[in-house]
Amino acid sequence: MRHSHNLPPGEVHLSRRQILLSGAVIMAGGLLTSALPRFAFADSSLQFIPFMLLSRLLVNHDLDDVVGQRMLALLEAEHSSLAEHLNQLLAIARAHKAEVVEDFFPAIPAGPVQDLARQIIFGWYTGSLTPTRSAKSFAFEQALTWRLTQDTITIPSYGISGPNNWQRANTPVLPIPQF
Amino acid sequence: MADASQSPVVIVGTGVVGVVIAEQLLDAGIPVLMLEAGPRVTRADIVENYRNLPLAAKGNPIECYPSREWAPHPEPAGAGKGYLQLSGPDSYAQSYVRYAGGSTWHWAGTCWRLTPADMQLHSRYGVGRDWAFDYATLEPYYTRAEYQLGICGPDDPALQWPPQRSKPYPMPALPFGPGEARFTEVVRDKLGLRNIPTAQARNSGTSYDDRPACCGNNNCVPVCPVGAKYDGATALSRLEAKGATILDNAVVWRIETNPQNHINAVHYFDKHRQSHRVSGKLFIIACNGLETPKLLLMSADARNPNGIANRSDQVGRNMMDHPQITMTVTLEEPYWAGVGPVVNSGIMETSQGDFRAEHAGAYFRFNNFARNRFVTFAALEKGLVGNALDEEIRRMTACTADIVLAHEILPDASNRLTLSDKKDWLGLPKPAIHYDVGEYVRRSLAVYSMPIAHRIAEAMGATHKTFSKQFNQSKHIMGGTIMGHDPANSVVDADCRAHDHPNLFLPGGGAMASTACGNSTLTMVALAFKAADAIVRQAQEA
Repeated sequence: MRHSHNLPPGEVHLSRRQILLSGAVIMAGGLLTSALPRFAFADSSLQFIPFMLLSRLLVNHDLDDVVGQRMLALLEAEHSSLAEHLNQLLAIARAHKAEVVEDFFPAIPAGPVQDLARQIIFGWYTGSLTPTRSAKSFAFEQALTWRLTQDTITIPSYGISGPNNWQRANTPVLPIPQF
Repeated sequence: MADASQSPVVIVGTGVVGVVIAEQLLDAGIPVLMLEAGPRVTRADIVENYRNLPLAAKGNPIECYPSREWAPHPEPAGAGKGYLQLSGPDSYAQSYVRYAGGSTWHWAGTCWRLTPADMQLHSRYGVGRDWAFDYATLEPYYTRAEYQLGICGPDDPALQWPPQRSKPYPMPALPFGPGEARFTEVVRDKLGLRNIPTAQARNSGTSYDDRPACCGNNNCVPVCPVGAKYDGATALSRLEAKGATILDNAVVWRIETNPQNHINAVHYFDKHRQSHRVSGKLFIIACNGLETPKLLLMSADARNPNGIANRSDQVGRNMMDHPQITMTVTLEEPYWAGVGPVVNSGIMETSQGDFRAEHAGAYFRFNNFARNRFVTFAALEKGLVGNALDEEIRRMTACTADIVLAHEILPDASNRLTLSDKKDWLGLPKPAIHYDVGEYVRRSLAVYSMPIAHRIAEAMGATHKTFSKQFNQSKHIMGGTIMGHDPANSVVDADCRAHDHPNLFLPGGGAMASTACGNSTLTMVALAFKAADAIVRQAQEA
């Protein structure tokens, strides 16, 4: 894990040059590797690109842009300061030259910015933003909790084998499947 | 022929019991009209509902089946919230659905038979009630039920429950997933217990009854996405092809008697609150173990002031279930529940023994639901991110398991369903249930089932274990229209015919005089076949 620069996020201000530089660095680092489909931009929020950039830093897996669009719509309805907080989180990541979440998460101070980061992680892993029965669901089989175990167990309602074809040796917990 | 206002035979309810009886009548050339309180939906509707639920709601099967206002069933929100008015030391918090096809939509498909001893608790152990007939009488009906529903099970008598059978299962047992296989090994090798394949209404390796083979979708509860598991809804179109008339959204609210105290008609509300009358010769009320006694009590009239079929004052009494405790274990090694059907094996031998004179028997089950929905929130709450989070979710999914301790319970007249003064959308009384699992069950937990559970946990290599804090319900509703020879202390006779009304039949779980430990549906269906034979005879004589 890399060392934190301990930048107080509340004092992070990004100039236009810094944002452009940040984008260039991220692109050069291969973080924006997926070519977004055209429809992803059709009615999407201005926050979509920073949101997906941040998501790919908070979660060390391939992420589905369409799921991201759905989650972002819910976040925007819930967070009036979403754009500002996304920028603050991206700035912390940039300041730590983050490539994976472990590089910068410890530097995110407790409070609303960290809460947002945790909520975004929560969303990608569960497909909803809260652990409540009334939460809006924006993903099921794409939720990362299922993908993490997809090498072994069934995503309920999606069979992974044929008739009577589920006898198998028990899989070790590690390594974690790469996706 | 049946039409919407009269029929030789009127069946209230389109769950598995009503469906099985209807088909026997139709095959005998007897027209039937079926009245269903709830809607008729497609499998795709339910699967879509399930997939769109948030993770936190996926564990409650009823969430996929929202009540209609006119036909509420218990649910955490919506029209069915607060439907059951519960009281007593324990909570009779059941779930069932009022949909065409009934609650087999969301059952696990488990089909244990009773044993000979299960039907003779009083004569063998001095507790509870004996059945009105013995196992040998019921056995042919069990066989018919197994072939009608399509039950898979083991060929080896040592693995059958019970081994007293006249025919093999129509399909072989389903294989175990890795967690069940490991569980079977450790309880056998360390405790000498047999974890045997569940007899279940799921197509094993082949199609059956125009339904496909099970492919291990691990979603039997709340709905099989492909229809490999039997549910009542799979039969409805076939019944219609044979001539049945099925009315959905028809809430029967009154049973009408004539001066001879025979049943003359039933009255139902449609979803616009308009009432309709349906007359007939024979009536079968099979609309759920709670709804049937509720309807009988609601239909009290001058000739039957305590309710229809209730001269004994036993309607709504003796409400039973399988009180269960869940033990959640954390394990050193991965078991990986969630491969194959959700319930696929069980330890049944612990349900039998002379100890039943003192306390209940118990059945132990390794729940084979995928664990993600149970553990993901807890893993996230630990504040982990990145690889540490991934490892924790995988570890908790693989290395935790639920073991269910399901107990039998004795019939007790004070465990009683009555009519609440609270009303539903149609203005009909909500059911109120007072419930206490009783000392017979509590003593079992203290001296028998819990000690066995601790030994199972140790055998599995558990590093941590927790238990549910109260008895939960298994959703196996029994006893409310209990069977017996004596009209003074029972509601129906050995053919599920009401003692008080010769043309009224009340088949299903309500008739069961004992619960044993295994799931009740197969016995309900066996009783349905026995009743159907009597109904056909009676209809032909008429």
